[in-house]
Amino acid sequence: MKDGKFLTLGIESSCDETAASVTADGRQVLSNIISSQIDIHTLFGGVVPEIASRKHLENIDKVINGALEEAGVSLDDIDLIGVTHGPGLIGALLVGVAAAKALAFAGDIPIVGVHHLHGHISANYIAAPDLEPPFTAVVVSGGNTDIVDVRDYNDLELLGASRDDAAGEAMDKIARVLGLGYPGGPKIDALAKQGNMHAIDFKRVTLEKGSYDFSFSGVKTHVINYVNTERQAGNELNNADIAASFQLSIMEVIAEKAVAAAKEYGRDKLALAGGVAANSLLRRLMEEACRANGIEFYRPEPVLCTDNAAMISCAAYYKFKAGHVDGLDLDAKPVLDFDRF
Amino acid sequence: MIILGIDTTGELSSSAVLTEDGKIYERHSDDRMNHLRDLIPMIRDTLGDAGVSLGDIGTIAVSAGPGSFTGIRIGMATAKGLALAQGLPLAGVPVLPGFAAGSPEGTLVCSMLDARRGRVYAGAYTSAEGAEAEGIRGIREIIPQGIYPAGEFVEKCLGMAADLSEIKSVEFFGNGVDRYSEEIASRLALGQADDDKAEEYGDYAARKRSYTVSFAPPERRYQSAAQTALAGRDMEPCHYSRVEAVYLGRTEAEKKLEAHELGVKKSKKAEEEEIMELPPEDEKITYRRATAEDAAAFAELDGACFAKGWSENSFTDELEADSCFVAAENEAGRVIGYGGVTYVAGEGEINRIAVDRMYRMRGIAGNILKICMEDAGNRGVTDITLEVRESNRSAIVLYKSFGFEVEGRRKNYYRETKENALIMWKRGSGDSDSPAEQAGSEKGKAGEE
Amino acid sequence: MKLRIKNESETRRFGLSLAQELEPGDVVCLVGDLGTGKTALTKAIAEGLGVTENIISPTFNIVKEYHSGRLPLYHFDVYRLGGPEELYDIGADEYFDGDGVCVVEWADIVAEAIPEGSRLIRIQYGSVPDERIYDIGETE
Repeated sequence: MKDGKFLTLGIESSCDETAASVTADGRQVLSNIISSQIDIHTLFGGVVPEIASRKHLENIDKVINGALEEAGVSLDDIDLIGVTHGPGLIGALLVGVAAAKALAFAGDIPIVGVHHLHGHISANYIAAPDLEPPFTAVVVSGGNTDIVDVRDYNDLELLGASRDDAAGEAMDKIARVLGLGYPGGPKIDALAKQGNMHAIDFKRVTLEKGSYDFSFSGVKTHVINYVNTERQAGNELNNADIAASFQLSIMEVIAEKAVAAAKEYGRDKLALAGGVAANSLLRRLMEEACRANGIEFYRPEPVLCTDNAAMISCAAYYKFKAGHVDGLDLDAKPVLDFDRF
Repeated sequence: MIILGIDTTGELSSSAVLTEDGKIYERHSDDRMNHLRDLIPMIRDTLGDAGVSLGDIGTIAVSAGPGSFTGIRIGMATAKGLALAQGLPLAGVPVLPGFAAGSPEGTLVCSMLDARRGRVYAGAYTSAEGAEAEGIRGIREIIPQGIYPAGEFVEKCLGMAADLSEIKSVEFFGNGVDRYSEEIASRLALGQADDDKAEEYGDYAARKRSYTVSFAPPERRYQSAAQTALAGRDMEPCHYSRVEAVYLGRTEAEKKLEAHELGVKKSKKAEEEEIMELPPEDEKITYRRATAEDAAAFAELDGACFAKGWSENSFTDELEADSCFVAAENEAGRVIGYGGVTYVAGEGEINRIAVDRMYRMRGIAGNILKICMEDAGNRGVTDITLEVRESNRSAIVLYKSFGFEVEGRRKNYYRETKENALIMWKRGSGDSDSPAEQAGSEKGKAGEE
Repeated sequence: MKLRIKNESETRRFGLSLAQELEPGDVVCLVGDLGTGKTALTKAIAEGLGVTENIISPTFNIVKEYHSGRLPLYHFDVYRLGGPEELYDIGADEYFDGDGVCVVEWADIVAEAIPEGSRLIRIQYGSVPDERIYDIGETE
């Protein structure tokens, strides 16, 4: 506790990023340190440690100390530790979980394991202080395209997920085919603005009626075949048109299903999350669809959409408040179902 | 100074408390799959055994590697977390020289950890006052830590022991001892007194040695938190943010190719290969009795299916002997499967059945076996045996379906792969029909009654 | 060996058949451009191993584990990695000597970490749409 507020230290290391954050009363961010975005000079005064992607063991103590320092608190003030315990890469997850357990044991602090997806959804609570369940959540990222019905903070149901390539992956792959470089999503977004999204009709796969699942590998293949055929025929490609048309075929399906889910479950709020939430077309389509259907639309700022620990801290806070707490035998789970809990 | 030791680099993980008067309390986990889950509870319990709290600990010593990548991470991340929380210094203990901490003078400590594919993470050290190796005081490096072919490392150790007069004994530590015991034994001729064997095994014949050689007894042979704590006591700990893991990753010389090219073994055939097609699913397969003329085709098929295929001559011998061999041909007349039973002293032995990989999963092996069994039945041979690799699941299932049962096992029978062979028998006057026919004849019998 | 695979159905047959041969510790490398069907082949291998879970692209997660088959299946996609060192960072190297089967898409990116004697399948586009040529060999 500090200044009468309940402090949660969140730790995230499920894939690329090593991150730590301190939040007050769940939603107020006191610090949000992410390994790839750290301003190392100011924090470490000159000596630049090697901070690279997935160097979790090297980064973990630095991000934790950074989070405590920036929040102006010490470990003694921390009331709860939240850590992503799955799903993700085992070699990455275990660094965060091991460090979190050590802190919990040493400081005699309760610890809560958080599902990475639950973290993404919770980013919206930070971004919109007035947002409360129930609502429909859509998480769109490199590895996920999920629609979740959020009944309550700890009562969530996965309505649909990607059956093959996630939206972000498909974007990255098409970006590569078009020679746009990595990361592909933002590049496709930028290039698409110069193109005509109706120039080419890439098929949309909506799957069976009533399904909230997604399948983008068909579209991906369609675009690749189109590009290959045109190249073989010696035709010049209009990359901007391809990017725009491809992007539309993906984002349109996501927006449609998201709104359909909100309507079916009677939700008047729809929250977007995940790295692809930054996509301008997706945001525009969702805003339009929500407005047309009387649904309130929420979307956090970019830094909360990509992997970070503030969202984990927030999710942990609400889990703890509802009485969920884990023991010192908490384990990392590379495969972790998104159960209702 | 009370030291907390942590080791998660080997198969078992452990935690230990080393008190100021040298007493050790240690616990270990036997569950190699759950290092992460069990470590903190184990540390808590070890502190309890020692009657101390985390606040009484002055330094944390953690094994920094080499060893299991995930293991190293679990230990080091935990140690960093504890050190951060308590504001304690951390000693990252290199495992290989760590084995030498506290060893008696005159002993060459040879640490070898399995690095797979015939190699070991290894190094050799002796106790030496005033010296230091890899940050541990009181130890001298004799062979630097690195990745070595197992046999080569052992030779280096014995060579050093022979050269250095102060070495009176050589002791081997680490799971490399278990994994490469043959390589070690062959270079030591352990227990061999005859001259012949001594020559066969080279210069390190037992009777010429000026030193004794032993394997550390199992209770001391592997990494342990207690040993880590002891070694850590002889190190200068530092700030936890500066402790690095010891991976001993591949050196530049080990990297085979540049620019991400997967090297491919040259195939035996010519470079301009014909592009084959998947055979149609409904292709008709014909089965016929094989003759000695099929030897060449069988040898070729065998060579394609198995690491050590039979030669054409071996097949000729079998085909000309008292046997029944079956050839399965595709529509183009190419032999795509074979199998056979050889008769000796009134018993039958099923030779292996091979099917071209393009034609698997079509029941061809079963059909071949059926014909062989029928032939045996017609000849009145009722006891039939065969050998099969223990890991050849699908073959074992097939043979069982024909009434074969496992009666024995030959260890390391298949030398190339160090696999065991299962000896299966079908005995008695039971049906040599296929399972379907057995079921049919059972029904028939019931009907007759 | 070079094999002409005419359509998705043949991809599936090939994958099912290959799965029968796989033992613990086997590594299968799949190399080929985007869209050549590395994941489709992996799905067929998974089916052949009796995996009931849906195989999804591991591009972002780098490795996904499936335990419902007769052997654990570790499906890698190292597209996002810069080289074999990054594979060691995430502890993936240990899967290769483990208790299951590893299928590695884009294995050429982490070539140095691939065990000798692993199966290698290079997939190329064929002369007609849907057709692929599998070049099957062993790594050295």
